[in-house]
Amino acid sequence: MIGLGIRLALSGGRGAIVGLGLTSLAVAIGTAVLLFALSFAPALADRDARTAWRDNLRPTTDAVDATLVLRIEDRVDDQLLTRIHVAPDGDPAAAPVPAGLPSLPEVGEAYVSPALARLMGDLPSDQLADRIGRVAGSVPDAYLASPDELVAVIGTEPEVLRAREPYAVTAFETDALALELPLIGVLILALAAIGALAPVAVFVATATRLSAARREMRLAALRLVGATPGQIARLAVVEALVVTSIGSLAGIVLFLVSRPLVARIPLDATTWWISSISPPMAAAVVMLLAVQVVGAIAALASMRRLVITPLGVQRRAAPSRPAAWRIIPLGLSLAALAASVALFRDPGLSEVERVGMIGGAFAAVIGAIAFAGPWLTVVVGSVLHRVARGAAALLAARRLSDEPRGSFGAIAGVIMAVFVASAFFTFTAFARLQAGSDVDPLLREGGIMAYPTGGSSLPSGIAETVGELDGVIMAVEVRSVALLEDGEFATDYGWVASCPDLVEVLGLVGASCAADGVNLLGSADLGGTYDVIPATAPSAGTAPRLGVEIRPDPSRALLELPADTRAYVPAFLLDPSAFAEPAGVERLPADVLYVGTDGSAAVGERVRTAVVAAAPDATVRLESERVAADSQFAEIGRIVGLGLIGTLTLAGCSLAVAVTTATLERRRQFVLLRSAGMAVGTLRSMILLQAGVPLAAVAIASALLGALVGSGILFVTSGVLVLPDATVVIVIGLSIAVAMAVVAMTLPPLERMTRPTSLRHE
Amino acid sequence: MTTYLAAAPTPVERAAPAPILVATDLKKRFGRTEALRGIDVTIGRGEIVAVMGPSGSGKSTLLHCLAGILRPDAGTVELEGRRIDTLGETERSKLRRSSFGFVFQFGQLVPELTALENVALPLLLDGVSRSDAEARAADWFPSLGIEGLEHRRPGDMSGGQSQRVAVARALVTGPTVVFADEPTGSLDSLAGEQVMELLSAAVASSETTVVVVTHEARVAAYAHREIVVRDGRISGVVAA
Ligand SMILES: Nc1ncnc2c1ncn2[C@@H]1O[C@H](COP(=O)(O)OP(=O)(O)OP(=O)(O)O)[C@@H](O)[C@H]1O
Ligand SMILES: [Mg+2]
Repeated sequence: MIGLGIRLALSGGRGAIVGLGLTSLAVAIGTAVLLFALSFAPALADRDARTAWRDNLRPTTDAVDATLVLRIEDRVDDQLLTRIHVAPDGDPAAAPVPAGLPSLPEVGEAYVSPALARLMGDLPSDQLADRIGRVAGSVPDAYLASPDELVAVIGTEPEVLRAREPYAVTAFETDALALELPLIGVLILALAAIGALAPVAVFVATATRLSAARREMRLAALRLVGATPGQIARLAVVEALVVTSIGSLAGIVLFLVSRPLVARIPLDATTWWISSISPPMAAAVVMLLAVQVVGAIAALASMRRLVITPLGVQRRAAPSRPAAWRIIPLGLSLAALAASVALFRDPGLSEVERVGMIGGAFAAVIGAIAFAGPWLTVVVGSVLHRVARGAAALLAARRLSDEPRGSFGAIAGVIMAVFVASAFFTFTAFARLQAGSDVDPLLREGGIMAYPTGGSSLPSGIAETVGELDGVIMAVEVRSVALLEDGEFATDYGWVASCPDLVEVLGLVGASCAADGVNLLGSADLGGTYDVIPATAPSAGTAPRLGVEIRPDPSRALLELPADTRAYVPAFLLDPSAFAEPAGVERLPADVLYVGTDGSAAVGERVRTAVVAAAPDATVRLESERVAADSQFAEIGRIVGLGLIGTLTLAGCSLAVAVTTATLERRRQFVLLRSAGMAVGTLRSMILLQAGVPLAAVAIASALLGALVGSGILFVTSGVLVLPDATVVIVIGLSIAVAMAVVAMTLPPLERMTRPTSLRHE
Repeated sequence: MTTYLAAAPTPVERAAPAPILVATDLKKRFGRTEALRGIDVTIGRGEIVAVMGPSGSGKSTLLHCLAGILRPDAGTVELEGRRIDTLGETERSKLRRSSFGFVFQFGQLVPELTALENVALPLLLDGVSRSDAEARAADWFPSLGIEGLEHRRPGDMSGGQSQRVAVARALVTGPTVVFADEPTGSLDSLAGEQVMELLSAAVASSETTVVVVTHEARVAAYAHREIVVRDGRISGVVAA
């Protein structure tokens, strides 16, 4: 029986082999997706374990021999550069050493990751190597998050670190912090997996139908010569197992082959070690077995719907014509979505509950679209029937009304992908609106700003050092200050900096500096004798102070700034010339450096290197990174985009298979029609109309719905009304075009198969 | 509904053979269509019986009821004295593969299997090992004139060749009764006669009973007896 089943599954004609191949392919894709999903948590865990030595820092308070650690996220060449500055605290011989390194690097030396070593070789030393020091060795792979990670462990003077709030650690961990995927992450992952598997399931279903008619004939023939219903069921299970086992094996191969590509997709700005993308063996085995079981159960379930008699196959119940109430779940799920969005701000709900509700309602809308689809198809069919001229449109309209489920099934994948895409692109537009806020909006093109991280100040003379670099037009030190009047804080904080220089560096077109050096930026009302102290001073008592006398002047002009930057700007700007002793300004610590450059990438790196060499904890932001700042969003966008491409590809395949099936099922009819003189062109336009009309109608409807849902969610949660940008139109237009191209591709073989001479002994 | 012409033995008949298949008062309806309205038939061992009649008269339905493919709504069917119309689906399946053979107009060969495998199929379903089943199947090819076609698929054979493979498959289990429904319907007269020739020659030696539905006089000529069905009833019996 098993042998017979295998032979029946494998030894079909060309059509059966194509059906078998497509179904196995779908199972393979599903298996690979599941293997990647299973590998996700282990890959994250592996990554965390590799970086535990620098992420899982446990500070000590005991005065024992420790190592001081200061971890800085720097950037170079548009990539993240993690600098880990270390110094012994106490006896150097007793200081703990980071995992994987032979010893602490000497001052001026560094251990670097291989990718960083390569980059240091590629860039001039004043752009990168001077930030790092002399290379003493490399950080081994086992301690890097990814093969292209840029990491340096840099030996630094203990005093330099002590001034910058370092960690003091007595041991470097090799175990990651217990990995805790937040529930939301699990939910999103689960939804993503379902989202990825849904088109696979649709594809399996359509691919199975491709050979169904023939299979049913074969089973009836078997029943005629005396196969019992039990034997038929066993045959069906064996055939399903042939498909799922071929598919699973192919899926494992697909997983292994695509692993290096998937490893290139960054998450958290970090790509992956190929070897760390491995599912847990036991879970993988269970999953692979589950695929077989599900395949067998699905085969048995599909048999239950058929009565296979020796004379042929009957369906248990003729499906009724889809009615208008099929639209009701869509309305209900939209209402549920609206309700869950309205509840979003309810403080009584946990974040998991909120996201769960919205996610659940969103999934329900997708399901409801699929449910309403057949009815929409009937509607489209009857509209087409009314306006139809000519045989092709008439035949297509009839088919749509008579077989709405099959006709919608063909395009369901594309429709669902379109819905998700349009909702997603609404979120994209929103995220783009929100992105870029962590770069000072005052920076103009080519602008750079630097500020210390650990509450320290920039070293004195930094503006001069930076000002001399190639490509730098001007560097201005800014001192954030507060004004004390009789020991009381007088106004909001303000700046002390050279006004003409700042106006130039920030490109404040049309702004002119006050003659007495006192410029108002906000609504401050200044006049009197003040003590100027650093804004960051922990207490007014010990801070350096500088006296200034400001003549009250109600007609004092405002220094105009671009409207959209005002929120980030202090109340006043005092030029050194406002002080009785301008040189005394140097006693106040500088805490921001604005640099104007010619905008080249090299000068950016040069400024970074110069600033970091003087102040290792300084953060340097480039105006050009405004774009890079939404890279995390770009990452998610890329992953979702890849998912959408995959979904649309599968949906296109489903569509091609379904169109072929539908035509083959009516092959005899078409052969006869063609023998009777129907033109090939009529067949061709009928097939195109049958797929294209409902596709375009329902896709546009679901795109509008998706955009509406996306905008609605965003409007309620953020108060911003966002409309999706042109990307939606492009994506949907492209999807429909690609889908129609796929349908067009099936035309030549279909024309061949419906040639009047093609029905030989079948 | 009460008047019908029974299939009474006719004087021309040779020594009446022992009855093997007996149907009494068979009724079968499909929705509002009364396909069989009360049919009594007795068929003897080794007999070749032709069932004739106009299209839609219920010939195929009668055949299907006799062969345990369809369950009659009323009446009984006995094979060698044993009720078969009351058997369950599985039992009737087993009966079909051990005691009956089938030759239909077309479509009864499994397109995925070769001619040899198709002929071996009833044996395989009965649990015979593949090598034994194929060896026994191969024995039938020379006598049916289809030697050399063992490894062809049904799609690569002519209609007459396909029907001869179907005959081989019907005979391979050594059935008690072979049921044939328009076995020559899709063949030209020469090929049709060949098939009938081979079928009747094959059963002659083994006392196999044949029930053949046909509307071709040439086919009916191979029968010992003709039963004419009209409107779901037997309207006459003619001895050849
Ligand atoms: N599965 C079925 N469902 C409904 N009606 C049926 C079915 N099978 C047969 N009938 C009807 O029963 C009647 C007898 O059909 P049957 O196939 O037995 O006729 P037949 O004598 O074999 O005709 P033909 O010579 O055309 O093959 C016909 O009216 C037919 O329409
Ligand atoms: Mg018939």
